[in-house]
Amino acid sequence: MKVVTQKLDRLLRLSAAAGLLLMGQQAFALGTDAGTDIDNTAVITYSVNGATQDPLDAIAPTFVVDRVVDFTLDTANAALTPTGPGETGAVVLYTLSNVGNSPLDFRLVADNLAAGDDDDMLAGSFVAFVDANSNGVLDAGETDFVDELAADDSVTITVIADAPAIVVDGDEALVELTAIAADPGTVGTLGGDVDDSAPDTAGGIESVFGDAGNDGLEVFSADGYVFDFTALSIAKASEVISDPVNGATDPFAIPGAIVEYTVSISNPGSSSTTSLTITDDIQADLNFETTVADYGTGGENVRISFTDDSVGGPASVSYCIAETGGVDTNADGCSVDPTGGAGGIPQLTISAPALPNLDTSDSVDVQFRVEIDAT
Amino acid sequence: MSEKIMGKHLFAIAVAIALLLMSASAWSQGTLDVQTTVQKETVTVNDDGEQVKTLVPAESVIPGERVVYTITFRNTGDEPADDVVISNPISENLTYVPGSAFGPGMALQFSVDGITFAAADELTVEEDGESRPAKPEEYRHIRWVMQNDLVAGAQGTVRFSARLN
Repeated sequence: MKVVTQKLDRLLRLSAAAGLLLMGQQAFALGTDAGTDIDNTAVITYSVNGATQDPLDAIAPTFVVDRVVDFTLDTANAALTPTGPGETGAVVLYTLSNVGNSPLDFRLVADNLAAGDDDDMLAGSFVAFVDANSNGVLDAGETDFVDELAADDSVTITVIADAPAIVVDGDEALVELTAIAADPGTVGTLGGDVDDSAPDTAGGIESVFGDAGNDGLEVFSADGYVFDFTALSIAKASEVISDPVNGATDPFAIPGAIVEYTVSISNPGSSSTTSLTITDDIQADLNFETTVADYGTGGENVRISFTDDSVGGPASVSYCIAETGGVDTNADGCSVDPTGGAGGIPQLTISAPALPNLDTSDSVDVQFRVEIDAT
Repeated sequence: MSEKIMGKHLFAIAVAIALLLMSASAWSQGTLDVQTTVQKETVTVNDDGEQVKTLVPAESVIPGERVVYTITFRNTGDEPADDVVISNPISENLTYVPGSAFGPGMALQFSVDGITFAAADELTVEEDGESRPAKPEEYRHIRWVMQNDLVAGAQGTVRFSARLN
């Protein structure tokens, strides 16, 4: 019984020690630097006939620590990068970590993921680089490779690409980023790809691929872009309000009639608008109604009905005054440029602050009135 | 003149003493011949799909690999060697593999500081003012103490493994 207990105790201690050892090794993923010489010298002492003899050194052959090429490549983004049509230089970030025992260069290759996603960025527009100043542009002094990444160090890799002019909202364009381990040595110069085929030699520092797949290259293809933009829909309708003959009762679009236009804009896209502006040329045989009694008594001539999806109906209604002199003197975002339209016809402009930004599923109706030329 | 003769005599005596010492040392001093090898463990898969561990000369090693040091000693003298003790400091870049040290006919001792040596289950270290058993990865020295004499012509072997940090 006692023997069993002791054995158990020893087993427990052994397994605890093994556990600690494993933990210790994980904490020191870096390992002994490549090129380090490892020596071992034992000393033997002995006596002959009671007389102590000179100690002897037992010197083992020295071996040298080889280079373990081990690194990881991962995204540094929480989600795909939203990109609009025609957007240039859209950024995706990655983290490359050198977990081997030697500094390394890394060759970078970024391109569209060949299959498995919805769409592609523009072919040939990819640039992968180390963006030292984090401005999203490959500047002079920055490199399109990873230069001399020390063991146990990480670096952020920036990939930029251009989006096509015509894309579908919500489509994904994934990026395949490949990092290939390269020989370090010269600062500012990309070394050749690491070659692990050299046979092991005494005293020589050979390379062993310890990375996933043991191939000296890592690929990350689960990040990239999602096309995400404002897909505005716009419609225009007209209604005859009154005519000189019938008044407001069953009016006809005859000379002298008042017609109300309704421009309806909605945002079914996944992004919000900014700086939304509506321009509408007033045809030569139509006269913009400078004051509309139905809109207000202060000279209001444009009605804006905004439906905020997050609030729901009914629409909040506001009015603005489009000055026909072309100058937005009250700075409400509404004006009529007498000659701003195509061919010098008047042009109505409606913008912020009168016109709100449209978030996803928001909509706005802009109404104004014209008189059909009576002459 | 007499001084010259004296000088010759003195010289002859000195040579005689030197010869005596040399022969005396050849007589009484058993000579140990020592050889050390270092190998590394490689795992290959044989035709049957089984993993086979083999030892190859360690010329270049990567972190995490296991190396095996073997010290072989032979008594090439005519007299038995006694009190044979082999002390092996472990390189700072190596970590002792628990349970790997052995030597037939040898008592095994370890040390974390190179001063205090004790058997594995008796070695302790001070930590936060308290004494606890030393962990194998803390061993910085291994000592083999031969229990019997190494008779003339006999050979002994000790061995241990360590992992490259």
